[in-house]
This record gives sequence, structure tokens and C-alpha cells, in this order.
Amino acid sequence: MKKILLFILAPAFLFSAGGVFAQSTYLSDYNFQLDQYRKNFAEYTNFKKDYDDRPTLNNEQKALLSAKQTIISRELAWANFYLVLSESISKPEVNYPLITKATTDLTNIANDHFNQANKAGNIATRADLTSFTQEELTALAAHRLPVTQSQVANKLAQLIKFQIDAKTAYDSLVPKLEAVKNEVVVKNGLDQVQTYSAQINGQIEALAKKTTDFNLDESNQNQFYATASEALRGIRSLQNRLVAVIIDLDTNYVRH
Amino acid sequence: MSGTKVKNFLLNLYPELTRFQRFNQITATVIPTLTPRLKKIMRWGLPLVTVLFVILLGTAIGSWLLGLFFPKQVTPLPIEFIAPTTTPGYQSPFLPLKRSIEEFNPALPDPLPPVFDDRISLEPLSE
Repeated sequence: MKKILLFILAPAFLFSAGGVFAQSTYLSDYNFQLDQYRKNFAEYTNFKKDYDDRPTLNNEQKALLSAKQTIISRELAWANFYLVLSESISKPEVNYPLITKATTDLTNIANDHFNQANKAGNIATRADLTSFTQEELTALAAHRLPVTQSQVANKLAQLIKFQIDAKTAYDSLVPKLEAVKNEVVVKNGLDQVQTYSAQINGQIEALAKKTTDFNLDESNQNQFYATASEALRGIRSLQNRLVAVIIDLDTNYVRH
Repeated sequence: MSGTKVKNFLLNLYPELTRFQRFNQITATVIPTLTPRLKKIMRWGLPLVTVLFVILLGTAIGSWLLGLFFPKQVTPLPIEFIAPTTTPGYQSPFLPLKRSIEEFNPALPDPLPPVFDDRISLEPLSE
């Protein structure tokens, strides 16, 4: 009987542990591939120099093989980097259009890089390498917009989670303030919470819309990041005040 | 000399003063003791004090009259205040949320994308 129970529990445990393990592997895989890339790239730089200095067939082959290894580790590092970012966006478990789109985009981009890593294995000639890199540059250009949007989505996911947590805190607090809810100080505090919440939601929506409408051809990426950062700072500041009011009400006006 | 003049002036005004023994004593003792220096101070001091008194009195009457023409300043009633029921040593369960918000880093991009050579090739690439 014990054995049967163990068989039932074991897959369940493995499944849940597998989930945790899978989540943590993206970052370790990324770090591993980044190390591999650095080693391979240093090697490739040397072989390429040799080849540039003495373009023999042997040197070409060495440079080609080294380039192939570098590209594979680079593609795997990229793929894992995007999975790390995607994982970070999914972690707060927020359901929001920009966030859902970002995780989908990142998964697709990561898959593109995994496919590129596989394709890089087939590079056999100089021409193959050139063609591969040309294709890669085109793909990277196409990834820039969704990646930029995903970076903002990552931050917004955290702020939306804070907002959800603040709402939960507020909801749990209101019944405890029933006896004193008509007192001026408490009433003001509750009104402030409402005002801040409305402002925060408005700013989150505005930033999400701005991110969705962002056009990389027209706007500069760094400028967009700077503007978005400023907006995030503003939202954080309002959330700080909002939670400070909630804590004040909880600490000073609820009987514990 | 001036003491006698003052005394005569006052007696002329208020003859009843002769009935007061004290008045006779004061005029006899105080006035003759006035030194020239004290007299000089009083000569200038008295008009000065009188002028100041008149100015202050005028200002006070002016303020009072001004108050008649302008509405009274209304002071609001004290706001209802409830004494916080602070529990000593109480730690709100929402403090970690506040800390998380404070630690939130608004810098972008985060995580920083790695820097790779995306132009790996053995020949020059066309743009």
C-alpha cells in the first residue's frame, strides 16, 4: 500500500520540483552559455586574426569551426536571456494584455534563437557563415521592438502586482475601520487611498498604451527607455504614498 | 518758583485741594527737590510721552473703529480629532509591501541585455 502511495506521490513531487527546477535553470543556463560564449569568442578572435594574416585553408577551417561554436553559444545565451526575462514577467502572475503579449513574444524570440543555434550547427563554409550572419542581423532587427516592449512589461508586471497587493491590503483593512470610518482623519485616509489608486491605475494604463504604440522607427530606443523609466518612477512614488496611508490607518486606527 | 506756580494753578482750578494735608506736603517737598537736570528731562519728556500716548490712543481708537466697518474674523471650529490607538511594538503586515515598492528599480533596460558580436563572419558584411 505504501509503495502504491509512493508511486502516486512521486510523480506529483517530481512534477512540482521539475517546475521549480525548470524556472531556475534559465538563469544558470544563461550564465553558463555566456561563459561559453566568452571563451569561444576569445578563441574565434585569435583564429580569425590568424586567418586574416595568413588566409590558408587550414586557418579558414579553424576560424570557421570556432565561429560556429561562438555562434551556437551566443544563440543559446540569447535564448536563455529571453527566457529569464519572460520568467521575470510571469513571476508576479499578472493578467494584463501587454504582459501576456510580452511573454508570448519572448517565448517566440527564444525559440528563434534555439532554432538558430541548431541551424548554426550546419554551417560548413565561409558562404554559409556569411549567409547565416546576414539572416541573424535581420532577425535581431525584428526582435528589437518586442524586446523593448517586454522590458517595460517586466517593470509594469511588478508594479501591477504591488497594486494588487495594495488592493488586497485595503480590502482587508476597510472592515476593521468600520467603527471609526466616519472620523475625519480616517475618512481622509480612505479618500486618499481612492485618489492615489485612481492616479496609479491611470498612469499604468498610459504607460502600457505608450509602450504598445511605440514605434522603433520613429522613436529612439534610449529615449523611450528614459521616458518610460521616469513614468515608472512616478508610479512607484504614488504607490509608496498609497501604502504609507494604508499602513498608517492599520497602525494607528485599527484596534489590534 | 515753578513749584509755586503749579501749586497756585492747581489751587485756582481745584480750591478743594487745600483741604488735603497731603497735597500741601507734596507740593512743598516734591516740587522744590526738582533738580535742573530733572526739570530738563521733564520739560522734554512730558510732551514726548504725551505725543506717544496720543498716537497710541489714536491707533487703538482707529483699530476699534475699523472693526466696526469690517466683518469679524471667523476662526474655524477645531477639527474633530480622534486619538490614535497605537499599539506599542505593532508591526503592520503591509510593511514588506512598502519595502518591496521602495526597492523597485525603475531603470530600463533591466535585466541588461548581454553584449555579443552579432556580425561574426570571415568576410566583410554588407549592411
